[in-house]
Parts: sequence; structure tokens; C-alpha cells
Amino acid sequence: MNSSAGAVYDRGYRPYEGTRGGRKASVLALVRASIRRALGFRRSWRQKFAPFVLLGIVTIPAIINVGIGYVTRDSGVDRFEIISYRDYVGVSSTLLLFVAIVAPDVICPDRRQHVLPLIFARPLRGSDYVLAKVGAIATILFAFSFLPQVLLFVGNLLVSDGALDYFTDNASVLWKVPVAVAVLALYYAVLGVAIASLTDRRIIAGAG
Amino acid sequence: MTAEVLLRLEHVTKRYGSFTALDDFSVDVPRGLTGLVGANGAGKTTTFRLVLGIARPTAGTVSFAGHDVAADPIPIRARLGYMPEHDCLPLDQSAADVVATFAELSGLPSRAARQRASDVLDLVGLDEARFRPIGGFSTGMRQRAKLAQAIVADPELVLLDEPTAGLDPMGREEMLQLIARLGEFGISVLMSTHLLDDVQQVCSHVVMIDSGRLVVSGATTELLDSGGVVTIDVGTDSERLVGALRQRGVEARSDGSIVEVATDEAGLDIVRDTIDDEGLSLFRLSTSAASLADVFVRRAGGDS
Repeated sequence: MNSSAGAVYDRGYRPYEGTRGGRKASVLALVRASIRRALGFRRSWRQKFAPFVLLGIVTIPAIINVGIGYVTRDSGVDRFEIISYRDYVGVSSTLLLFVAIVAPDVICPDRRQHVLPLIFARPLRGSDYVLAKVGAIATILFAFSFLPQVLLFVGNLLVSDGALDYFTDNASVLWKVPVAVAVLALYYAVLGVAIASLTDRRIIAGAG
Repeated sequence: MTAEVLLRLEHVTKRYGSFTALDDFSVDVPRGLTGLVGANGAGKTTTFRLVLGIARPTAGTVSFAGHDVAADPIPIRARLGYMPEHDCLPLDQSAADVVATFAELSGLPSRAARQRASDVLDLVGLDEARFRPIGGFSTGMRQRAKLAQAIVADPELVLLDEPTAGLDPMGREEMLQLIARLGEFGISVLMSTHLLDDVQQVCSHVVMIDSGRLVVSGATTELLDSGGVVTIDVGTDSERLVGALRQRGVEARSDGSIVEVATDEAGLDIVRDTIDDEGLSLFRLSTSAASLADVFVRRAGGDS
């Protein structure tokens, strides 16, 4: 045999002998796939544009607030806050904009492109599908609402006159803000899925 | 030796309102490659929906590997693959991403899913196109991507709904070769089609269905052996031979001096004995192999 000669190998088919998750693994996989889709991961930059521009917009108040605190930290004037943690939770109009963009993108293509029969041929129930979609949207809403809050808290902590005093004075926000944001995210996610499920056109679902 | 039964439908009836899609349908599907043949609206897709547990039978039982599908379809779906007839893939995602996602939805861990997606896309001939969006694929490439997602989780049985629909002759041939290879890999196939040539080419077992009722089920070779046509030339005595054959229970028809008999080996003996008993002069006797289309037309026609 000539060892220097090239060879073409038919690798054939290898049966899968690894582990298989059950229904729970399938639901989590659907949550991950929906989050990836909504944020435009593994898709063109155009799909990433809208969600991350919105993330930038909702982060601006925190950046300005911390920036002002940093600039005025040694001026002797009283602390000036343009937005409080409570106000930030209530930036619901921005959250609604998130829902209008994210929910249709997560729900409508499955119907319009007839992907549902393939999904329901997997180890999933109908309720699992709804649960996964609500979970995916709620996760994104929570992350996009909570990240600016974290930025605001950490920034204020660093530019405050006494970090320990600021921490103890504002310790209650450490549980109040996540709970409030989670409840709001879940509420908007359920609302978004319910509206988006009524149509297979993204633009109509977004307007709804 | 009887092949192991993988899928069993027992007296299955499925009604949608007043429409009966399947009517007391009973059949055993063995391991290997099986064709589910019937005209449009015969009940093929309904059969798939029942096997996947997406729909429940109005009456009767569907069991996969001995397990009642309607009782708990979830673990059974993990052992099945499904390729629908229509377009069903997200057009703005790459083939690699879509196939890996469906592998994860079947329960495979993320890393294994990506590896399997790469392997099966290579297998179906989409290795170089796997990072392109499916929206830019030709019909043949989309069919291959659909097949890839159906087999990515290494199912025991894959349900293929009209897998050659819309393909040009070359694409059809390549798809049939791929399907034939699945059998070599140990994946059983239930392929629905109304193209009998496709079944004859790749399937070792055939289930024929018409208006929701079973026409016939059996090994492809046995059905073909049973469906031959004997052509006999007895000169001017053709009508006499037809009459004599009908008296012996063999259906025959004459066309001038030619008599045609659709029969099997046993029937051939009767033809020979009849000619001998009647003292007819035999000028020519020839047999021609039947196609599955002949078998379907004869059996479905006989039933109706």
C-alpha cells in the first residue's frame, strides 16, 4: 500500500450512545433556543441590533446618575439623583417596548414557518411550549431590567462618600428590586405571549 | 422468520368530526424500511400524527415497541424522528444551528447536539452549506436539512412524510439513496408516499392504504411475486379459455387472441391444467413481473 497516496474515508454513521435528558431537558433547550433567537445570537447583526440598542437605552439613566455622582463627589453639594431604584423599576414603557420586539420574534415564526409540528414531535407537551416561551421572554426582560439596576447600585456604591454606609442604607433594595423586576417581567412575558399567540405576523403582534 | 414488529396499530379509527380519516385500521410495521402507500387523503399523515402521539385515536391502539403511544407519548417521541412533507424549518437560521437545536430538543446535551448536527449534515451532503441560512437553500437542500433534523438524535424509527416531494429526478434519486442508507445504519424507516416506484426502490415492506382502510401489507418481494401477469396466446379459443378459467375461480380477460391473467405461482398451475383439460393449442405463454402499482390497483379495486 502506498502510504503517501490520499484516501477518502466514508465516516458513515455513528449511533449516539451518550446521555439523553427527558422532558425537563427539552423544555430548557427550548428556553435557551428562544433566548438565542430573541437576542439574535447565531443570526445576522440586524437581529441583534434592536434588543441591544434597547439595553443601551435603559442603561443610560444609570450611567448618567452614576456619572453625576462621580463628578460632584467632592463639590460639597448634596447628592443629586436623577432616578431612584423605585423609578427604575417603573420604567415600564421601555419594558413594553422590549415585549413588543421580543415576544413576536419568539412566538410568531414558529407558526408562520410551520416549525410547531417539528417541536411537538419532540418530548414536549403543549403546556411545556407555553412555559418555555414565557420563561424565555421573562428571563430576557428580567436581565434587561435588572442589569441597569445593578449598574446603578454598584456605581452609586463606588462614588458615595462611604461605601459601607451606602450599602447599609440601601440594603433593602437588594431583595426588593429583584422581586419587583421579576414580577413585572413575568407579567409582561405572559401578556406578550398571549398577544403574540393570536397572530403569526410579527408586526401585528408587536403592535398588539 | 418473522421480522420483529416495531410499530403496531390495532383496529385504529380516527375521526375528525364527521370525517373518518382512519377506519378500523390494523397493521404491523416491522423493523427495517417500510413504505406507507396511498393516494392523497388516504390517511398517511393521520397515521404519523397518531404514532407521534400528537393526535389520539378515536378507537383502537397504537403501540411502539410494545408501549401504548396514547398512554404516554413523551418517552416514545424521544425514540422517533419526524420529517414533515411541508417546509418546516426556520429560514433565517443556519442549518447547523437548526439541526443542533432540534437535537437539544430531543434531549441531547448541547455539546453532543452540535457534534451530531455536524455529523448528520455531513452525512446528508450539507457539510459545506451548514453555516448558510436555510432560506437560501434549494428545495433539495431543504429536504436534506429536514432529513438531518429527523435523524440527528439517532431515532429507532424515523417517519418520513413524502420525502421526495418536489425534487427533480436527480434529487429524488439521491434522497432515496440516503433513505436506503438509514436502514444500513440501523434506523427503521416508515416512509409515506404516493409514488410507488419510490417504495419499490428502497422499502422491504409495504403497507397500502386507501380511504383510511388497509388495502394490503406485506414484504415487497412477496407482493410483487403475487402480482405477476400471465399472457397466453391460444389463437381463436381465447374466449373459451377465459370462461374455463373463470369456472376455476381465476379472473382473466381476453383481447383478441391474447388472454391475460393476473395471478401468482398457484394460479399459473391452474392456467396450465385448464389449457390441458380443454385441449387447447398453446402458441405462446409469457409472464411479466408486476409493479407495486399493479398490486395496489388490483387490491384496492378488488376491495372497492
